[in-house]
Amino acid sequence: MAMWPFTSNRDRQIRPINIRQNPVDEWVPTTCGYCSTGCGIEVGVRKEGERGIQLRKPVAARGMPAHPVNQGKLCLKGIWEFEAITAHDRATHPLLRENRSDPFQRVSWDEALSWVAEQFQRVQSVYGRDALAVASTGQIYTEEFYALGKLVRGGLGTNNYDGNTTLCMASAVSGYKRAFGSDGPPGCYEDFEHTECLLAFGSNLVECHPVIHYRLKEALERRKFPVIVVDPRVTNFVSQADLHLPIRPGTDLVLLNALAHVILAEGLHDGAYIERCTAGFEEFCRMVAKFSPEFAEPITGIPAERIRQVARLFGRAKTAMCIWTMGINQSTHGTDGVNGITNLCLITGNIGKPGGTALSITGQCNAMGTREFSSCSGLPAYRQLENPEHRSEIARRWGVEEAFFPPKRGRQMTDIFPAIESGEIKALWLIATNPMTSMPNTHRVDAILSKLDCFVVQDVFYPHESAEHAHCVLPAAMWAEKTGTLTNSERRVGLVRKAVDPPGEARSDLEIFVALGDKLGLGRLFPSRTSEEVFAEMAQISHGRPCDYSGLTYELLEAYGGLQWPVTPDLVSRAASDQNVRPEMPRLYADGRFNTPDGKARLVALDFEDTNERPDANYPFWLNTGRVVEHWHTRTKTGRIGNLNKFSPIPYVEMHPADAEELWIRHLDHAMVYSRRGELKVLVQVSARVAPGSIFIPFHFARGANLLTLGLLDPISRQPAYKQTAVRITKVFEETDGG
Amino acid sequence: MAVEPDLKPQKQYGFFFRADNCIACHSCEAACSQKNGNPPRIAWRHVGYLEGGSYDPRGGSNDFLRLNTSMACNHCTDPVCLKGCPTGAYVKYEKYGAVIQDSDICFGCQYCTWVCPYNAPAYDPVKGSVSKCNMCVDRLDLGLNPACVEACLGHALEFGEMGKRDLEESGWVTRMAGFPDPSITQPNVRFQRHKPIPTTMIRTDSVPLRYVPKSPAETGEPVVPQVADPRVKIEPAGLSLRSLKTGELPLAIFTLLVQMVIGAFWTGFGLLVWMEGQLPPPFGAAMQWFFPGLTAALAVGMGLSTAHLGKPWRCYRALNNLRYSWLSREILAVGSVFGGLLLYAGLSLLSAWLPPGLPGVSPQILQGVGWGVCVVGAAAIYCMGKIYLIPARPYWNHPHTMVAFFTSALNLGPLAVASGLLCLSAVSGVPLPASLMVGVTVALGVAWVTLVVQRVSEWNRARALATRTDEAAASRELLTRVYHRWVNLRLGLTGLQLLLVPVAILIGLSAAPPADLIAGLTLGAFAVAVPKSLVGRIIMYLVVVPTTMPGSLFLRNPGFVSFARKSGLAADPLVGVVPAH
Repeated sequence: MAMWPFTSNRDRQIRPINIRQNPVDEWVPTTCGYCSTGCGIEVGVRKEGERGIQLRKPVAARGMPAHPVNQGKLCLKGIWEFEAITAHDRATHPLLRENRSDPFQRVSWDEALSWVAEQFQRVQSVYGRDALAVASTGQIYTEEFYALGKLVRGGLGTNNYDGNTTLCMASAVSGYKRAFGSDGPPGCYEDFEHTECLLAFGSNLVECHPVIHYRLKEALERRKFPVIVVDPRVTNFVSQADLHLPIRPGTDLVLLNALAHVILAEGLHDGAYIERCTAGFEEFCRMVAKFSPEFAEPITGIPAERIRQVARLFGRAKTAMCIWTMGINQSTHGTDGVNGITNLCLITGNIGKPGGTALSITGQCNAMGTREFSSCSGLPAYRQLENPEHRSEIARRWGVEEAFFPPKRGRQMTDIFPAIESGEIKALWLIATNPMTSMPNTHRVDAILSKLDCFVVQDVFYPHESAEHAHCVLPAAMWAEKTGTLTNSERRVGLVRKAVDPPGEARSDLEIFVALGDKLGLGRLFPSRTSEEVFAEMAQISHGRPCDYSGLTYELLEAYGGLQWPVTPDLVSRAASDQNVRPEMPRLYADGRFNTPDGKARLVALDFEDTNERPDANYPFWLNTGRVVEHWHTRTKTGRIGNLNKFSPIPYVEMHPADAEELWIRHLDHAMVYSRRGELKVLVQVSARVAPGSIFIPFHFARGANLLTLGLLDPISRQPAYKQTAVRITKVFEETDGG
Repeated sequence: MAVEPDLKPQKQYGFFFRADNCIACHSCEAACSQKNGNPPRIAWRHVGYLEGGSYDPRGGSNDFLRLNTSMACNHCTDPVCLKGCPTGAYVKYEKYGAVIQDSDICFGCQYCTWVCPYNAPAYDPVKGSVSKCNMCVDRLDLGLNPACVEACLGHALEFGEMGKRDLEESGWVTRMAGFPDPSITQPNVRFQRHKPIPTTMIRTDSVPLRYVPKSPAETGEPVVPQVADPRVKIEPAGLSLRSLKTGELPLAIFTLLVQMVIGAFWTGFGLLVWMEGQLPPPFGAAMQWFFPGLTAALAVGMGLSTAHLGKPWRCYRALNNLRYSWLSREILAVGSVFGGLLLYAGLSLLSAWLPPGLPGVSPQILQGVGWGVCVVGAAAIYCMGKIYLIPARPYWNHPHTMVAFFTSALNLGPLAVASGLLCLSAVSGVPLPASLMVGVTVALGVAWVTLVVQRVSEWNRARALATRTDEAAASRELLTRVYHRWVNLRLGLTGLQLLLVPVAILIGLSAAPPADLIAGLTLGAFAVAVPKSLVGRIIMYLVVVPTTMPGSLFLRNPGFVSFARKSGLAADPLVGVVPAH
């Protein structure tokens, strides 16, 4: 501790007062491992110990001042992220048990991996290749995704392989593919600097992506433009907005069609762009013709006049952009909602130009990476199993039989679980995901996980909810304990350098995949074994694809603080000669050519069919779920960091004062919330930020909101509708009476 | 208020808060806690909020607003914490005007947490000391902004020199909904808000307050109680000692004991002076043990007073701030009373034991010491009263607090002495000499009159409370709605005492007073007076509603803190609530 010299007041002696100093020996550059914003973080490492044995301890974090994303800023999760590394309950040794009822035994890596390999082979040989399911994540590095994809698609050969990204981003992916011919958000954060109108759907940007909101706020400080937020709840983002459209849950498609209706009816569309760059306009016009604002008003609950006002603002703006998050994606018609947004942007010519875009704000730090390279939904670099050319190309490059690849994508995350229930899947390998908390209908998930013959959990923490039924726990290294890359919401590939060693015997996910490959006799799949080698392989394989990494290297990523794909060697050499050019592509489709066979984007005619569970006499309330700023997804990290967890250590429900009064529930009482799936006892916050007849519960807590949710699936993206559940509420008495 | 010359900094810096922009992202808090290494249980900066307006998409007004406020130390021009701290742990750093506290000096009396209206000093029960925002003066020296300002994601929290920045740009005001009256400390913080605020703003923590503007143009709002509001949950009624904050029970007993000892000394010494030092046995002998007894009682009280300190072994630092701190002065005065009592008791014992003929202690000296103790005792009670007369605790900040302390002394003390003498007379069968009986009767009369004075003063405060709209009014609501049973019990005991004392006096005035009856009645009155006073003192701590910044649902919410303690949640350090011990 340094002493700070104070010349204090005249009648006092000069007295030094301690001001805490936190000496850092080395700042290691990384990219944040929580959300998809992709902030540059430097992790402060202190070297402790002496005589050869040096312990590197993470002691601080700060935003990278010149980083193209966060410009030195961090949200509170990023500020405390280094504490996740040293949090309690880190998994440090492989654990194994033959029977679920036995206690775990600590085993060596060799033993654990041999057992896993043997079990996978046994299950696959007895029940077929697809009896093994692999459920991955959006939390590990792109190199690791690529290696996992290789192992699963090229080695294990199961077609039941997906990630938890199906729970958050699948609708955006499906929507992008349907409209633009391939995945990949076309815009970037810098679009805030150029747009004249921002329309946000189902996004609480302020709490879910605070640093993206910072970028928006910076742009607004320089130049005011209207910000319109569509949300059933008065979030902190709504409080910052100019207009709030308080929509009835699950009716966003009607609003989007009505907006398009007004834009077309009033001639605010960009006819030339539609003609040149899109297909399907006539059918689209026919469809939206019936969605007049007057038609939409009773369905959406938004006055027709307000719909017209917003449509005119959006249509008349020289450049206008839409952002959206889970309010759109987590719906029974999530993909349609996404295409409603792409339609709106396409008819006004707002794609691929500065300030004009349809930007899906992604969830996890590397949801994009898994979409690009994990082969979950197909083959690496946005290649598809359904495409024979793609199959043969990858088969050649990986050195596997082309016929080994299934001709069609198999089950997604949300379909894998029912298949376990029905006995079609016997073994599950869970990687860095926590379905016990994140999947809808917890009771059902719990029952499903207890049915498995072989259940392997690979995670950075043990114990946690999803590992309760596991046979084998593989301890993984966390963010900043290994080197690799993450892709953010604006396609920016960011580098994470290893700052400290993983605890105990924990290994990086890449090492685990490669070692398991060796055990399975698939070592030939892994000529590249370090993350940098794998990255070079990825760069090569992505050449010529939309997500082109071919010009990228770790050195470039570190020098520029992340780069937005596609990056070709051409672009890199051009940037090398010009200091003002960054070797990256801020926007896709700037030339108006899309990745469809004919190069034209699709306008998708979408009718609205309300298939949701809806409140009725027995379950009269809408339950909506969402995030709070201090927690990350299932709290495995943030719940273990006191300075985050203290902001909401237990779940709570937001309830409108009028409803509370009717139910005799007072602020800070407890209430029971019942749905057809389960029940939850929860602390009540009486607040008018939710509409009467609606309640809100943060989804982060184990055995919390998802005990209640139904999670009907979007027919295209297979993403669950978490945000529309019917519930009933009663007061709990004993909590208030306890003296 | 004039600034004390040695508290005047060369330059005064402060925080500027643009309320329109705060999104409650908590980055300021996180950056502060990371820089200062604060564990989850304490925070130097906190974002709390008020809610107002309504939201109903089916029609009706949609003006719901969550008004977030990020608040740390305001580095006040009149730093009441600095002035209150007995150890002198605070300095006003003249370079930036920062109010900086030294945890290495602090002994954890928590008086600064009482006097600060903004909850800036944070007491850590685990470390037993207070710490607080230091304006990041180390960063300022490097030309950087404080860590919280640097971390702000929304142009909400800014920093600059007072009187310069707010003059350059208009719209900066000193008040804001939920922010305590700035006249208390002249805080160096300015607020800006352009968007309208709904007329009624409600707290989400369990503090029973809401905020309404006096006029539409006003940005600073008074507070009114909302105990009757169904949205508000009040902790269950009951004079549960567990509801007292740590250390408050010893403080209640300490203040009462000190006041009783001083009152008893006044009475005992007064009777001696009245009797010109001549008391027949057994009363004379009893008097000789009376003063050492008082000394011992005071010692117990002083011991109790150190019980609430986080670091009792540092209690010698209590006299560091006689210049400003009434707490320092009180400790000096009580200490002097103790010294005086010790001297007095010693000298009187000495003069009694010395064989006649030897040069003894002169009665003049003894009496001089006695008068000294009387005067210092009065000063001690006065200082004690001043400690509680603080604007940040509006319920206490009424002349009644001072009256209550003096009347407690003049009620309990005389009753104790009178009942003691009368009982001794009854037990020994020796009647009190007539002149002593007169003295005892006068003492009983004094006890009765002071009780009447106390009641009148209480009634006067109740009348004043009825017109209040702030935290004091919330205390009134607590008195009348939550603690009314205990208030009524206390009233009943007061009435009983008011009845018993005159009966005892009247019987005592009769021709042949039955000693047993009078002794019984006075003893009864004393036995009623003690619980009555104790209940009153505990209520005083229970119902005070300090001026505070609005909390949030979990942090700085007394309702959640008590739930976390009862339910056992607090045992987990990750919850950020320190378990009760």
